[in-house]
Amino acid sequence: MSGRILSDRVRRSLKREFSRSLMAKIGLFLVVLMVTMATFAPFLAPHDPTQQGLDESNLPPAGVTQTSEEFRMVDGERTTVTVEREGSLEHPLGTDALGRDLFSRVLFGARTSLMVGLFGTLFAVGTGVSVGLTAGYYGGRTDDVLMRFADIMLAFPALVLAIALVGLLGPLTILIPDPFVQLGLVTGMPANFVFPITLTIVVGVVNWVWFARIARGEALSIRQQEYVKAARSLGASDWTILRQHILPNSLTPIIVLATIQVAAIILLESSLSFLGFSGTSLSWGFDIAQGRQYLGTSWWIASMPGLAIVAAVVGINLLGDWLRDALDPGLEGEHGGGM
Amino acid sequence: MTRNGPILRVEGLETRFFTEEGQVNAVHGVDMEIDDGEVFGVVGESGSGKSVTALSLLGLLESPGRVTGGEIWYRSAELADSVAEETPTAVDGDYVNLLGLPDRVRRTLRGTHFSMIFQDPMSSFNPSLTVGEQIAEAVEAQQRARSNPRSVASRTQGYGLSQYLMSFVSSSRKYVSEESRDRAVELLEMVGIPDPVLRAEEYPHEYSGGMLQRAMVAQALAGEPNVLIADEPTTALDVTIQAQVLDLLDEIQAETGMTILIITHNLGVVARMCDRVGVMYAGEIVERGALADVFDSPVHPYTQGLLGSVPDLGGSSGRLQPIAGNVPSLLDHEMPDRCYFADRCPKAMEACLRKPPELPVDGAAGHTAKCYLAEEPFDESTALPDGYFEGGSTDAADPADASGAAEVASDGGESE
Amino acid sequence: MTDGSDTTDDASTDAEPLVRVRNLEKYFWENDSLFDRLFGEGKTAVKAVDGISFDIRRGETLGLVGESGCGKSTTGETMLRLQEPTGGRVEFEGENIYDLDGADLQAFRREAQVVFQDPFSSLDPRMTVGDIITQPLEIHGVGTAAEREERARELLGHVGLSADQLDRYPHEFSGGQRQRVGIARALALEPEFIVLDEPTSALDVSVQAQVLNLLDDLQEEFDLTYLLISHDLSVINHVCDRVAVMYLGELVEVGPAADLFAEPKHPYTEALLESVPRASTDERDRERQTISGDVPSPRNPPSGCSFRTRCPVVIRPPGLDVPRSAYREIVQYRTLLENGRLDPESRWEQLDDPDRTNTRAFVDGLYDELFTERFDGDDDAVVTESFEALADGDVEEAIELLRSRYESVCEVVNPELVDEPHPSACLRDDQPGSVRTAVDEWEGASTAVDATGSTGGADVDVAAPDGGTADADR
Repeated sequence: MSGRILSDRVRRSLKREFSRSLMAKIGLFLVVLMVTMATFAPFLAPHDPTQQGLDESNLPPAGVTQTSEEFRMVDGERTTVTVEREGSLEHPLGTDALGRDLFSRVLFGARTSLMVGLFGTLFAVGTGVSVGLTAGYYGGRTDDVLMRFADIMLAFPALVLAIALVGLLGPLTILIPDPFVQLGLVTGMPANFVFPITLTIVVGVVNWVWFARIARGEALSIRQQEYVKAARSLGASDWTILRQHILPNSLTPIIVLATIQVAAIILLESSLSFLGFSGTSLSWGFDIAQGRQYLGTSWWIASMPGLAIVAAVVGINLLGDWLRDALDPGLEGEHGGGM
Repeated sequence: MTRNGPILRVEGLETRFFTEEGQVNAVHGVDMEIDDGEVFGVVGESGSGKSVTALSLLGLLESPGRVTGGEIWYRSAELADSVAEETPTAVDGDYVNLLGLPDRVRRTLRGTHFSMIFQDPMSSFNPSLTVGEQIAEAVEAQQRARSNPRSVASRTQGYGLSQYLMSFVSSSRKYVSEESRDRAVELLEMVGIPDPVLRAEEYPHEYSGGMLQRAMVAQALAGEPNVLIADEPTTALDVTIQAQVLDLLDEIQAETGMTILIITHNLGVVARMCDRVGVMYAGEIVERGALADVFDSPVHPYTQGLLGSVPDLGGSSGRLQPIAGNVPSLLDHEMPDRCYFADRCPKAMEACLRKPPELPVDGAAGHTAKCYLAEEPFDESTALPDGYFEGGSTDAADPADASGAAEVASDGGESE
Repeated sequence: MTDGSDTTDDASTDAEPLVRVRNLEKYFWENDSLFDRLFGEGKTAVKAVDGISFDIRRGETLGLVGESGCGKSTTGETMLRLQEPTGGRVEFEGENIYDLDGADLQAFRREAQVVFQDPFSSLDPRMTVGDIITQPLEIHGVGTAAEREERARELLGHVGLSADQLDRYPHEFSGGQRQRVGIARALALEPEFIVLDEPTSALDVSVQAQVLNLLDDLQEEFDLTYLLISHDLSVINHVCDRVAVMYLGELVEVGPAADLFAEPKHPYTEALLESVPRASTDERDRERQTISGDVPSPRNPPSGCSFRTRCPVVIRPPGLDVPRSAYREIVQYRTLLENGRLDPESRWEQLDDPDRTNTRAFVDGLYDELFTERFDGDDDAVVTESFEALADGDVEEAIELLRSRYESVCEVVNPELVDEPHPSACLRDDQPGSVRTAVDEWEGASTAVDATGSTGGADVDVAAPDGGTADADR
C-alpha cells in the first residue's frame, strides 16, 4: 500500500474535532481507561478475581453500609437479627455471593470484553470487507449471489443466530498464559487468560454483513473513479486494483464503522455471556447473570459490571462519533477549486 | 436606456468567507451599475468571485460567508416608501440600500423584485413535488406580496407554523389554489414547454435538463421580478439546448424589459446576450464597459488573455495564447498589496506593485479598467523581470515551448 | 494537429490505419438483475453505441464530438477494452483487440492509453504523484525502482511540472496541474495512441489553452495518435485533423475538420455549429439556425434516421404540398402524440365542458395552439379528422391518420455513411446502394397507397432551410 492511511489533512481534522468536542475527550478517556484496565489487570487487581471467601460474601462497595435483616437459627429458634455490613477499601466495589472481589473481576472482565470485541471485529472486518469489495468490484452475478447471502444473514435476529452458532460449535476456549504472571512480575493472579474462541467467531459472523455492505458501496463508487479505469487501461490486474486503489480508498468509513462495531460486539458478548455461552467465568455479562438473583439485597453485584459495560460502550461510541465527524467532511480533501 | 439612473448600484461590495485556513476575500470592492432593462454580464474563471457576487446581491450567502462592506442601492419607489419609516438610513430618494434592510424584508424581495436561476436545475427543484405545484407556490408568494405591498407581514403570511405542520400531515395536500395552478401552466407555456397542462403535473425527474431549466425560468418569472440574476444558466446544458435557453432569455427580456444579470465563464454566452460586461478576477471587476469596447479593445491584460485563450470556431488559428498560471489564492494573508494579476501578467511593470485604481479608458464612455495600461502604454524599461514573483516556486518550464516558460512557472503557486 | 494537408482522401492509397473500428456496438441492459429475471420483467437495451465504423490514421488527431449521452465516452472506453463490446471489432495495428489475451493484451495496454476528463477523480488521492506516474511502469515491470523514479522525473519535466513534486499528493495541485500529471502517466509507457476523453472540459479557459498547447507539443515530440472526445466544437476545431460527429449512438458525419466545419453536410452537424455562441461582438446579430426539442431517450430511439425528430429539413412525403414550416409543425404534433404527451383527458378538463359535446371547441383549441396557420383542402381535412379522433379519446386512430399521410422516408429508412472521405448519414446526401433501394421501395409503396399521381421522388430540396422554420422552438 503506497498511500498513507492518514493524510495531513485528516490528521488536522482529527485534532480539530478533538479539541472542539468534550464528548470526544470523554470517549477517549473511557477507552484509554478500559484498555489500561484490561492490559494491567494483574497489577491493578487487589485480589485474584477467582479467589473465593465465603466469610466475605456480599460485601458492599467501599463507603456503603448496608443493613439487612436475616433469619438466624439461634438456639434452635428462628430469630431475626439485624446484620450490618460495611464496605472497605479492601474490596472497593464489594464482593459477590462467593466473596470474590468485584473490582478485580471488573478489571479482568475488561480483558474478555476487549479481546472478544477486538478480535470479533477483526474477524467481521476481514470477512465483510473481502466479500463486500469482491461483490462491489466485480458486480453482476458475483454481487447478486454474495449480497443476497448477506441479506439472508441479516434477516436472522442477531441473538438467535448467535445462539444457534454456539450450539453448533460448542463453547470452545483457549488458555493464553498471562505474560506478567509468567515472567513472575506478579503473583497470586490467574496464570492463564481464558479466551472464548466460539464467542469471538460468533460475534464476527453476526456482524460481518455490515462491513460487507459498506465495503461493497465503497467499491461500487470507487470502481467508477477514473483512476481505476486508468489503472485498468494500463493493464493492472484486478488484484492490484483492489489492493492499490479500492481498499485504501474505502478504509475511512470502514474504520469508523469498525470502531462503533466494537461497542456493539461488546454488548453482544455480554449478552451471550449473560446467557452462559461464553465458556469463561471472567466476564461482565457472566457477573451480571450471577448478581441478578441478589439484586434485591446486594445490588452492586450486578450493577458494577453493568456500569463497566455502559462505560465501555459509551466510550467507544463517543470515540467513533469523533472519528466520523473528523473523517467525514474532509474525507478526500477534494475541494480544490473555488472557495 | 437609462431613464432614472441605474436600477442597481453596487458600491464597494466586500464579501468574506471565514474559513479554517483563514479569511478568504471572495469579493473585494466590487462596484457596478446596472441600468434598467439591460443585460449585464459578469464573466470570470472559477474562483473569481462572480457567483459569490450574485449571492451577495440576493442575500443568499451561507455561513461562513458574509458581506462585510459596501452598499447595494436598488431603485424602487414603492419599496423605498414602505421601508422609509422602519429603516430611514437605508433609503435615499427612490433608492434603497439592500444591505441596510433587516433580513425579513430582504427575504420578501426575493421572487418579487429579484429572481435567480441557477446552473443545476435538477437540484433547484424539490423532487417530491410536481413542477406545476412548485411554480404555483412561487405565484402565490408573489400574490401575497401584492395584496398589501406596504405590510411586510402580509408577504410572509402563509409561511406560518400551521401550514408547515399541515405539509407534514399530508404532503399530498393540494395547498396551492386553482388560479395559481392556471398561472403556472401559463408560465410554462410562456417558456416554451410543449403541452404545459400535462407537464405541470409531472415531477422534476420526468423533465430533461433543458426543459427543467425552462421550468426554472418560469418559476423565476412567477413573481414578475424586476431583476433576474442568472448564474451560469446554461453551463450544465448541451450546446443545442443552451442555444434554446439563451433564445428564451432573449425573448423574455425583449417582451418584459426585465433587467438581467448573467454570471458566466463562457465568453460566447456573454457575447450572445449582454449589452455591457464586467470581467472579474480575484474578487474584483478588473475591466468593464460596453460589450464591443471590452471585447474589441480590451485594455487589461487579463481580459486580453481570456479572449486569447478561447479556441475559435471560424478556422483554426494556430497556437492558443493562454494566460500563465492559475487563479490566485484569495486568502487574505496571501493577497499582496499590488495588482493581483501582476504575477501572471505579461506586461507587469514596476507601477503594478501598487494597487491600480479603476481608470477610465480613452475613447469609450463607461469603459474602465483596473490597470495602469489604461492611462499609459506599456513601458518596456520599467517592466518587471521574468520570474520576479516566483520566489521559491519550483516549477520547470514547458520544454516544448520556450515562450511558455513563464506561463507554467507560476502554475505551482497555489499548491503551497 | 499535424498539418493534415497531404493526407490524401483516397483511403486505398493510405497506409494501414492505426485503429480501425468496424460496426462497434455497446448495448447496456436495463432490468437485468437476478430479481428482474426471476419475475420476468423484460430487459431493455440501451444502445449506447449502435454500430459505428471509422478509422484513425497514424499521427492524426481524430475528434469525436457529440452531446452528452450520445455514446462518445462509451466508444472511447470500449475501444480501449475498458468495456467489452456487444458487437463489432476494433483493430489496433491490424489485430482485433477483443481477441487478445495474456501477453498480447498487455502489449496492447502499453500502446494505448487514456487521459480522463476529471482531474480530481482521475488520480488516486492516496498515492503520491510519483507513485501515480510510475504505476504503469511497475505494472509492466519496466526497470528498477530507481530507474522508474528517474523516468517519472523526466516525464514531469515533459508535461511542465517540476521533478521535485514527485512526493506530493494530488490534492496539493490545481486542476490544470493534475491534468498534466494524468498526461504524464499516459506517456509513461511511450504509447502510440492516446484516447483523450474530454481532457479540458473541467478546466478554466486559460488553463484549457495551456493543456491543449501541451498536448499539441507532445504529439509532435512523440509521434502520438490521438482520439479526442469532446462536446466542445471549438476545441475540436482547434485541435483535430478529422472529425466524427455522433448522435444517439450513431455517427452522422465524418470528415476532415476544415471541410466539416466550413461545409457541414448533416443537418445535425450544422445545428451544432450554429448553436455555439461565438466570443465576438457580432454574435448578437448573427443569424442563428438553432434546433428545437431534446435528444430522444436512447431507450426508445426514433425509427429510421435518429435525428429526424429534431431535423429542420426532414424530407416531406412525395407529392405533399405543404410548406416546410407547416410540415415541421405536423411532425411535432405527431411526436407529441406518439410520446403520449398530448392527453385528450386533460384537454377536455381545461375546456370546462363536462358533457364533452363541444367537439368544435376542442378541435379549434388544438388547431390554434399547434399550428400557426390553417391548412387547405386534404391537409385541413386530415388534421381536423385527427383532432376529432382525439376528442373521442382515440389517440391510436389520430396517430394512424397522420402517419398514413405525413410519414416521411426519414422515419422508415436509416441512412448510413458511405465509404468516402467526407460522408454524412443523411438521406439527402450520398447513400449506399442498399439504403437507396430501401428508399425506392418505400416510395413505390407510398405512392401506390396515396395514388396522388405525383411523379417526382421524395422532395429532397437540399436548399438551405427557410429562415422561419428552425429557430423558434415553441
